[in-house]
Amino acid sequence: MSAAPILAAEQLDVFYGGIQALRGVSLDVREGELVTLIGANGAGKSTTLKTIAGILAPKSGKVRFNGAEIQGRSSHLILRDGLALCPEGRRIFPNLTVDENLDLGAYVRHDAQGVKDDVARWHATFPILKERARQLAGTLSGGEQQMLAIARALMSRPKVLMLDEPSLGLAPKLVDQIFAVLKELKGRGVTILLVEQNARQALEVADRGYVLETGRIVKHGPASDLSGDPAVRKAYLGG
Amino acid sequence: MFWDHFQFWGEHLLLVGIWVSLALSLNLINGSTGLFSLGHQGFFGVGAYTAAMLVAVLPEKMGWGAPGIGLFLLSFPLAMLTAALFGLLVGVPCLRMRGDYLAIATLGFGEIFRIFAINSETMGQSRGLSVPNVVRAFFLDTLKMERDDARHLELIFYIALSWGLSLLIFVCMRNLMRSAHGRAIMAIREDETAAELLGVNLTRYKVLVFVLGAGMAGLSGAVYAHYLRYVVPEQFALMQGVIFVVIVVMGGMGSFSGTVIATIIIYFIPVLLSFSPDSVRVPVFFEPGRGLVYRSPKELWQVIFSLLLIGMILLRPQGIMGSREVTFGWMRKRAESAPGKGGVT
Ligand SMILES: Nc1ncnc2c1ncn2[C@@H]1O[C@H](COP(=O)(O)OP(=O)(O)O)[C@@H](O)[C@H]1O
Ligand SMILES: [Mg+2]
Repeated sequence: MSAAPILAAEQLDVFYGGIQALRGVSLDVREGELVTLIGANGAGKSTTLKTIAGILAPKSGKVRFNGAEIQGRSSHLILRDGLALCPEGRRIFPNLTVDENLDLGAYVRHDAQGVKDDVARWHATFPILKERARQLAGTLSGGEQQMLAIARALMSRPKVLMLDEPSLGLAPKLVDQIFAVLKELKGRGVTILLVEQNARQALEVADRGYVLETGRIVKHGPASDLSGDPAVRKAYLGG
Repeated sequence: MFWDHFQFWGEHLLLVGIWVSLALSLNLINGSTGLFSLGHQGFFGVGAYTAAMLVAVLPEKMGWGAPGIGLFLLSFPLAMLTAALFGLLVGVPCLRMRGDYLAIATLGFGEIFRIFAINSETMGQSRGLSVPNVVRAFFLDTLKMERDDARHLELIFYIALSWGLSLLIFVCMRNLMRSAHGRAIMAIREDETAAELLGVNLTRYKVLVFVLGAGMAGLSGAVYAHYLRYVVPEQFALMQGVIFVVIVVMGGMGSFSGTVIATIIIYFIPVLLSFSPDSVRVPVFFEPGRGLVYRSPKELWQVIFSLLLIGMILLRPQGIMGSREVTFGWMRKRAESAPGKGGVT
């Protein structure tokens, strides 16, 4: 494993108006790792990802990506640097077709052939997207939309992919499918920062984990250690 | 006889062409991109006044004599550029921020422009400016045409100009929306945060679209000023802008063919109503003590306009065309499925 992390948040303080949502949040991700950030509803997981992705600006603290400080930059520039966020709630474009959604994922790329190859690649990974290629994305089921959102985020060929609750609102069978996909992506060497409420499955696929409670990181370590930690088991894994 | 009808219908054809061009450029801003401009009539007005001042005020001030065809031709690009420049000035500060500042800023701009015109000596105050008929003079003096021929050709010229402009805008918009830029613009309309997360520069596209739309409105304004041969501030009142916003919503946000259809409908309702004979009266409301109050259908334009809008919202909130377009494939499909219902399982 390389020494310097490719992505690091340092002491992030983030406010919504007068309300502090993050208090000194620090975390890092090394190349090839799958790191998960777990925590209860309202802990500040989405806020953390949004801040890293440039949707929110931190009041203080730093975000380092690939050797540069990126806090305060616009999200479209951060994406161009190679840091992608697949946002909470999927946010596909419902009135565009599945393939148009994928093409938009490659908006920053100009290698037409490479984009074509990648569409074919994600069609192969997610056969349902190939079947529905010309259908409006809004007509897909929740699970299919999530697959599309993940594939769309990967179309920019990011160095690091951040995912905000990809399993949210899906039936258990589809949740398993999503986690199988994450495992496969990890196998291909994609670096991932995964936010999940579904702590059990997240810790199963992850290398390391962070636990967020009301805006603070309260624990971190190898995923297997966290799964074995009595406090974590009690709070997030149902005993 | 023919020329009398032609004069009447030709003028409507011409004006509806100008309306179509103006609605198309607003559709790019409000429909395709999902911005909300309430000041399109202002940019239309900037173009109209720019063209009018160039041929009516400038030659007089400079003592050049009657304006020639060169000045006339120059007035179109100049009207477009001036309107685009105002678009930039209004658009940049508010499109850089998140939130709907544009509606308020454009509303303010349109009204400030109108009030400025009412108070400006150079712009003729509320009397406005009358514009010399450069095209007619060119036909008569340079081409040595007969009076009647010149009059008819002038109308034909303006019909071609207004519809040519509409066609030009239509084709440009369609090509824009089919390109990668168009895809980005649609993404902004659907979900701007998601678009930005894919690398789309929101400010750049919003400003681009807004300035482009404003510039085209200026071009429509120049055609309008030259044909009508006068400009007054009231032509560019807020209500005019609101009508165009309604047209875009009615046509279906982002559908260029829907916009054309809706423009034609909205334009011709009052024209058709004006044909109702004076003897025809319809009851419009009940007043205690007086009974039913009757009015001529001619006066009911606003009522019908409102009813149409309410009906539209109830029955087809996505607009006439939704965000689709009339295409040849679509028309064929319609034609094939029209004759009988058989065969569909
Ligand atoms: N737009 C917002 N305005 C104000 N408060 C917000 C906003 N978004 C989130 N919050 C608050 O910030 C805290 C963290 O929210 P969030 O990051 O969405 O949590 P999580 O993703 O872990 O469920 C919560 O208390 C939430 O109510
Ligand atoms: Mg969340």
